[in-house]
Amino acid sequence: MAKLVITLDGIPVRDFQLNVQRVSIGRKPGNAIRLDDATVSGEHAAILMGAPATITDLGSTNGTSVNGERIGKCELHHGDVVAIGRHRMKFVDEARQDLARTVMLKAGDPDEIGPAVLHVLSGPKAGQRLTLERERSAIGKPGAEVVVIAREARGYTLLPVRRGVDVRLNGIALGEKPAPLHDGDVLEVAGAMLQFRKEAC
Amino acid sequence: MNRAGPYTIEIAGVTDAGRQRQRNEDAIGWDEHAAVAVLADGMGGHNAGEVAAELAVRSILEALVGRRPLIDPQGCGRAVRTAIEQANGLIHERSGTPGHAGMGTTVAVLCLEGEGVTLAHVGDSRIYRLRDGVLTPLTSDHSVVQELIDGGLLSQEEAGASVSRNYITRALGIEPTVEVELGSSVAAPGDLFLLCSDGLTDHVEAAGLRDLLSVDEALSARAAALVEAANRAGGSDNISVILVRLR
Repeated sequence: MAKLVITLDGIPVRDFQLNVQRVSIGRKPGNAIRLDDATVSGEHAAILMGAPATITDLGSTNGTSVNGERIGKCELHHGDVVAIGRHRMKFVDEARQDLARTVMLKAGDPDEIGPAVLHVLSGPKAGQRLTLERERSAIGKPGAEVVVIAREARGYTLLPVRRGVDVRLNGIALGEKPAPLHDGDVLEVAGAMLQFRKEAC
Repeated sequence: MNRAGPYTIEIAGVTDAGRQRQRNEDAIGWDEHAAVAVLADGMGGHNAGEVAAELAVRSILEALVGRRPLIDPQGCGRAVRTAIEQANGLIHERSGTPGHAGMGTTVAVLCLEGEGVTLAHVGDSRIYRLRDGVLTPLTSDHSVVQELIDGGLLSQEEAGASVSRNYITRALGIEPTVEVELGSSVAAPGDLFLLCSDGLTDHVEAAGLRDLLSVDEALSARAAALVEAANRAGGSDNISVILVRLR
């Protein structure tokens, strides 16, 4: 079951259980979620509960944003924040609450794990080599795909960062869980293809 | 007369399991006379997180309550750093015993000496200051998403929605040594400090914190209101707050 956690100016107002197919949001009475805010249109936006859930702006005057970006229609995933007027609505998939559990990302000893590089196979920086010198290296571009490669005790790990962006590992979409990196793996992120290589020598 | 010289100190705190968790792995403690507050958010299987957090709070408080009077604020910073490093050693040692492998905890410490305020933290427990109606974060999380924010790759809003927002990069008890981040500032009358675990800040934004801290109520009522707000928003993690007010 999913719900919207609604806040006004940062203060929680109420939770709305998303247990119907379509949820309308707007200023007029008759909306499932009625927002009493002059900057909200009468019929502002609608959420359709599918797999995945989506939100559509219904041609509102002041627009709808998801995670800070103005949208026409977009998918909703656990943790996404919808902004309409002064209200914020956090989409919470109650099966996914475990993300709240803090995990220590323990860095591995570089001498034990060994060095690694990324060979840029395509994109504007094709031919370059990026040495993964730090405990954590961020790859991507602001506002788009971002991933982190972490050097952990068990080896190098690819951490997804943003939900719903197209990052691929060996041609398969990276889910929301970290994935171990193996020598020769190919990563597609921010319009570039990168090959992960453990440096033997 | 307390350690904070010209100021009267009032401290109130609440720790709550939240609405989703069976156990409370946070721990809080303070001493008004010694002008010290300590908050920890533990992690690890079974009850290991609770053990780590309680060990951190107890040992840091003990070390700082008994500290000798210090003239200079740098001395206070050194004492806080040493107390946290000692706690790290204790927890790390304990993590070698059965059932406690891999346990760790975050920590946030506030300590006053005269007009000097010493702050220290490890992990994603935070310290804020409310002064003249303005809420200022005094700490920066040791977390994967904070590094991305600092690197300009992620906005604050995107960080809150990130699938990797739960990864911290420093904690007590994980390694034999720990890097403590120290900060300092000068106290002013009316300052209100908030120490909190991520169970609060995951659910209540800065503007909400400011408004709930600004109400004209007893300190304990404001602490309770913060916890209630986080619970109303889902209470997906343990929630702890300590408020320290100077008058």
